[in-house]
Amino acid sequence: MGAADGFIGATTKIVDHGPNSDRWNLVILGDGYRASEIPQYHADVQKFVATLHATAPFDELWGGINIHQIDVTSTDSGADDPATCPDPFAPTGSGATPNTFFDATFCSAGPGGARLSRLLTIDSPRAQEAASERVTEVHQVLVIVNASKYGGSGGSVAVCSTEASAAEIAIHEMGHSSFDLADEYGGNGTGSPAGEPLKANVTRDTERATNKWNSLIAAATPMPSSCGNGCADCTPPATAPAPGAVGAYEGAMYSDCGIYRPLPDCKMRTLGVPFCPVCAGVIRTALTIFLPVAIPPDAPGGLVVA
Amino acid sequence: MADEKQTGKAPQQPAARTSWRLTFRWDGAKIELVNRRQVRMIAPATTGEQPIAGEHAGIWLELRDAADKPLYHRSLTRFMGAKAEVFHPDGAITHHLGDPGSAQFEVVVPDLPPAAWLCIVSSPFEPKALLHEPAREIARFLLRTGGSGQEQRR
Repeated sequence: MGAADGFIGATTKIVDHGPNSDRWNLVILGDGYRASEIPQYHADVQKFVATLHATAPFDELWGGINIHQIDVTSTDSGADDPATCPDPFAPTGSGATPNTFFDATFCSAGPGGARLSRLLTIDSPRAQEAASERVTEVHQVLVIVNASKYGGSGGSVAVCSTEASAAEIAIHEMGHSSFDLADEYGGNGTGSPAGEPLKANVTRDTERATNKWNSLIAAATPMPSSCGNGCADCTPPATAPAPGAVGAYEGAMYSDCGIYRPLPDCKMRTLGVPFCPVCAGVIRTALTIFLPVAIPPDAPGGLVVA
Repeated sequence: MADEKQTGKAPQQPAARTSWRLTFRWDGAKIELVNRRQVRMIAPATTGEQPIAGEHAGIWLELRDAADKPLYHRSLTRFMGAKAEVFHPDGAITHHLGDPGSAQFEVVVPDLPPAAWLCIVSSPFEPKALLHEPAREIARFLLRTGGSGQEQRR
């Protein structure tokens, strides 16, 4: 399995907003597509691109983004999917063991060795190398795996299957790897930082004057804006905040209590919902420099060695 | 509601038009800079607050000037394989934590003229420590010299 199980073909710039040197470059590769399935790969890429384009704030920043598609042909179709997976959420798989270029596999081992049925991984260093050899200016690599089962993963390379809603996994993971956003879902506190989180979209601070996103909080919005169930450290507001009001809602970054998020929901908390205004603002900040008018031509760093 | 675009303002400094593409390899105990190349491209802007060695927990990369003043940082936590997320069909997400595994990854940083050092700052490599124990510098690399240009320390 691996590089002997296929080859890399054409690279095509499918969203072209100008020189790669000036834009944010997303490079998409496929895994588990046989030669006869490359047209399907192109269609799957187009579906992902349409989903990303429709996702705010990428829609308004689209002019700063280039997208490149690399054709990768595998010997076999699909991804490894062990017949049994010690994962209580989904303990069975198809048993498929195709030979694919990036070794896409469901039921991959997570940290600590726990196998997770929907954790779909690939050989990330190989994918990263394939992308940066062909598009030197790559910022984010995404691998789309030709498998209809729901799954994906993050890290330095985002991975998603072709299942209808799996693109949301890739966009969530890009929120981490490209924009350094924190997860906004709660939990029992395992994985929560001890002090104030450094990430822009989570906080322990419910004081209006010092909260890190206080410029987005309206005067009428109570602080904190909601409390988690049974959280002793939080005094519930006398009146509920207006729908959609940015505030401090308890439960974020793996803890149901003590850490707050900007809105009741966000793509960094639940897939299928929009990014909250704070996360959208972070993405905007990161991508604004790639918009055509953002960079003065005499900016430093003119020496090119490449 | 207040203006939601206020957090999206452009960075104060103009973006450098050249960057360094850095390839790191992490073997579970030591981090190596295995490749570096200058590329004509714009590096991602820094987001989040500047972490401080000795005060904050986590693992991150810093560009520093000759006087050791931090100029730029990027979190590396996501690249170290210490966390995996489980995506449920209803949209809910849960996570698993564990020891960071081996990893190889690329990071793009701006080629800032005053930058002299590339420093890796990390808490001890256990999941709890990565979240709670203050980080310290574990490796530093000369950014511009020929050869390996590396000096590592832990």
